[in-house]
Amino acid sequence: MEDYAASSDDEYRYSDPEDSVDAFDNDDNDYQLVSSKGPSTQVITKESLLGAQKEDLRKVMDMLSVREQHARTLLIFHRWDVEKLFAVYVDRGKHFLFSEAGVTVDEHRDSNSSAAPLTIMCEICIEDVPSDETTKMDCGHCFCNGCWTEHFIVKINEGQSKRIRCMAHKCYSICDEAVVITLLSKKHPDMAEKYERFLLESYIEDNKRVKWCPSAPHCGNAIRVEDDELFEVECSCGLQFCFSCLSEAHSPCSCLMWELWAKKCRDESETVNWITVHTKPCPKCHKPVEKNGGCNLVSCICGQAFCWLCGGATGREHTLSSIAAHSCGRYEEQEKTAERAKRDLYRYMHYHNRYKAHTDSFKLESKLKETIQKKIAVSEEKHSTLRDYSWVNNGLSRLFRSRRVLSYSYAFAFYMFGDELFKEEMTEAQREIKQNLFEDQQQQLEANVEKLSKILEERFQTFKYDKVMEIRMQIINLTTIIDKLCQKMYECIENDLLGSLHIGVHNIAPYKSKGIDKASELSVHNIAL
Amino acid sequence: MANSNLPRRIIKETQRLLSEPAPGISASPSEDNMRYFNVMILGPTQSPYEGGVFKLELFLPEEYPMAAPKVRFLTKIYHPNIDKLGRICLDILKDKWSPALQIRTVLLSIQALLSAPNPDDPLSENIAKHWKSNEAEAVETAKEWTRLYASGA
Repeated sequence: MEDYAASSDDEYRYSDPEDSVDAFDNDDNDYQLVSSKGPSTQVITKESLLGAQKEDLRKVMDMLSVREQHARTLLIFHRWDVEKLFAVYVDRGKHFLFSEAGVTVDEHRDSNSSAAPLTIMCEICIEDVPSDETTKMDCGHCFCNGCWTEHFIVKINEGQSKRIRCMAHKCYSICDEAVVITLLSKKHPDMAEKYERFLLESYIEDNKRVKWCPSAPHCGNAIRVEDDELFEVECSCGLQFCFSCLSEAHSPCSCLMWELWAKKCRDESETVNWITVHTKPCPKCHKPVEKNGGCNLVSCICGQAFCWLCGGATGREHTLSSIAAHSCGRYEEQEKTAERAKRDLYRYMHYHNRYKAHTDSFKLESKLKETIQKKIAVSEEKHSTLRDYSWVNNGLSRLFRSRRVLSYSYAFAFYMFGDELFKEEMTEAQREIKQNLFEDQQQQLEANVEKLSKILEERFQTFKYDKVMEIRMQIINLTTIIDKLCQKMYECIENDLLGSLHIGVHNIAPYKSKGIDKASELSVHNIAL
Repeated sequence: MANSNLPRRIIKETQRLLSEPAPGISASPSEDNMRYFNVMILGPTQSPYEGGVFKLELFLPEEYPMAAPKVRFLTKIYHPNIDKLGRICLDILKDKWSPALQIRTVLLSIQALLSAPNPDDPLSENIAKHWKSNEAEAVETAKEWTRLYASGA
């Protein structure tokens, strides 16, 4: 962990301290340290899965001096929570721990061979079987190999590979996996393979610290965390996601906000809203009709004329102020709901437009990556004295990162200051204060991000040395300011906005100055088992 | 018939069911399918089902004895653990099944379930509610149903 923090620091320290922005530099380093102390994450690939599992098995085997298969049965029962397993061991003792998980250790094994009869009647198939074709489990129950094998197959097909119990009635012992594999391998190697795979994947599927990467098509990786904290992570396949809800990385939105927002953006509900606000159904054919100008006498394509104010069918004759044989103008409840829908729609559109604007900018700016590299190459040719271009790349990644933060911050604001989630949480006045506080920060951030975006577009490769140095200064400054502003916005959200909630609990992934954590490849040492 | 390769275990169990039937229980395989049994269970004494004769069907699936037999009441019965299709809520027919259990033990368990209904683990929500709110009245209904539908006609 400490090493990790230090190395991530280096990455962001500017090469020439004298030139960097003094005012922010010290603070910035502190932030780096804080943000790097988050949970460390690791990628588990198909190849390292076995090793990852064995790490935990080893702990249990050493602690309790049991064989691997028993350690696995215990760990599967406790969902790979080694600490919980040890806690049960300390509180309730070994006997309880084992019997609860269905582990019986070697109580009856030895008595098998001495003076065994030549044949044994298997109580399952009622056949007399040569004793060397029978198997006695650790619990002491002995049946013929054929019956055991069939039992295993039925259980594996039922999806119960991880806990196959003994065949005897009221015996809760879990069958020794070594025996299961040996017996299955004889005639059904495919089932043995399946069984072993299920046991292996149990480490991912029954483990709250490990989750499959949600990439599609699936990259085959899983991610493991050290603490079950809320955070965002990047798999080695490149996918960034929220470990908690497995959707795209969405901070500073909480998982619930993001779920609602994504659904809202996908949904037709807003289209329906639009139709409610801008159209009226024709009283004859019931198609929605949009008013394209003119007076309040509207005519549908079906030929029916109707009054736009009340929606009632009318004749076709009219003057500027009245329609023949028709008068309306009385206030009706319907108007109210239409007004409300209109207001909601405009509110949503406000936030969605900005959310989308930043998402779109993010996409456009992704192209910058390539053009910037070209610019750097040209510039390197030109100014032999200027060798270090990390300021461009740092600025660029800061831009990408903060674009994302900005776009998600609009989805956050939509829910934070709307009625849907927190209506009961604050009064109108409180809401206004908080909204102003937040929007100030958001706008500051936005302004600086746009500035940075503009400067990064400049053709610095054509500039003279002095001008390049000037641009360099600006980019370094903006990069640092934006980082700080992002950090501040997250703090404001965590402490002043979400932190003061009473009813709902909303947590967000912490801000990572250097971007979303890349999970490191899991390296497992000394797993010779 | 296709019964030629019937497992020895099923043959043995069938023989024993016929030669030494458990008290109050009879089970005989169908002529054309040796895995299908016609079962009759007498209502246990001192239960609301006393005097009733209950018909059931029992089928041994291909995986038997690794998988549990399928059993169902054919006679209508008022019981919190049996629904109106005759399906039975009994642990050994589900996750507590063990290949070491037999047809005989299953039927004895069902007979025992008639003596001791368990409204806390109901299959039939309404009957269970009735049983818990007014047991005497529920027992009366069960007796009534036994008279109406299980009088051994």
